[in-house]
Amino acid sequence: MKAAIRKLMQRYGKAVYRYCREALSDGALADDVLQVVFIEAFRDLGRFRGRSSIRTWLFAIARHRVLDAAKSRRRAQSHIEPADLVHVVDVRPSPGESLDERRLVDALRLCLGELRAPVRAALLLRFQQGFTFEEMALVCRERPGTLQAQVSRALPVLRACIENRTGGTL
Amino acid sequence: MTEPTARIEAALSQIGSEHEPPAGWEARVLAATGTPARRPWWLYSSAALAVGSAILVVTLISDGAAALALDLSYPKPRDAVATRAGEDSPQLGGTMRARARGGGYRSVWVYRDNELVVACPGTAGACEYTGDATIATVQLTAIGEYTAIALSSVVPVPPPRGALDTDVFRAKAAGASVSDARQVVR
Repeated sequence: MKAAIRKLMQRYGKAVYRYCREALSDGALADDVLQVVFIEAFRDLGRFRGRSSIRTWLFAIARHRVLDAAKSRRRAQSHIEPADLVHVVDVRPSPGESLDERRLVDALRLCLGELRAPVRAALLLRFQQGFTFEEMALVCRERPGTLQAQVSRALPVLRACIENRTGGTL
Repeated sequence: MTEPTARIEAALSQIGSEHEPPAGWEARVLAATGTPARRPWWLYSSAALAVGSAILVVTLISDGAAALALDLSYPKPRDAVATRAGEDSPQLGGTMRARARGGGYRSVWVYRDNELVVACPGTAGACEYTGDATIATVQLTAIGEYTAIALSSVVPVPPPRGALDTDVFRAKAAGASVSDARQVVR
């Protein structure tokens, strides 16, 4: 068991962290969630029956813990003045300049943050982590078709949001 | 597929690749699960010396403090009418008291469905402190599973952020002893 959890952390730690960090947009919270994910994995490893891959199983834990953390944070932030939550990031290129990757990623992060948490999770699982829709179905306990539709609907929304934030230069 | 969408997908595939997990996170997970991190053999002798010193310090600081204990009770208002047996059982609209005794620095946190409702110290009007106990009083205003967590440590533990799993993990990582009790209120 000790060797197994070490191997899991070495192999999947960074990927799980990337997912948590982008899904939560909060490095400190992602640190906590990452550790909770692997503590839970250690606790439940003996009950893992191999009905999915270990990576799928780990990301199912991560997705749940991220949604829990996002929910708790939303509750806590409901007591904070809205002005405290505004982050001003200038993502518009200068006149005549095309949208570079840095500004695209900045705008993408802002736009991801405007999506509902389950939709954001679906996009990250599909593109950041490279899961198939069948694997995502195991992670999210949804039908593959439902997730595919969710992702297909979200992409144009993301595009419109990015174009809006960057002045239509995508 | 349009070009802008392909750019978005490509950006999504790269997003966050510059971030690394925080240093030492694996060791913290292993510590929280009770699994020691692998160390070179020559560290064991210094580790044994450090452990011996730590035990001595803890013994001196705790001054013989008793082991951590947690119990729940459900007091009735004095003017309540006793209707049937089960006076000491939880009821919606009633009150639950979580009492922690023993240990060093003590805290009591109570969660409903994994979300913090009372923290002692912390929540005004909900905490009592006696010589050997910390007591959190919770109004059972909603159905759900109430989880009381008693913590004890030789140094103060980090304050809770609001989510049961994360808070307990952080407390354990800080070296706290943890005891828990659960009660479902319907």
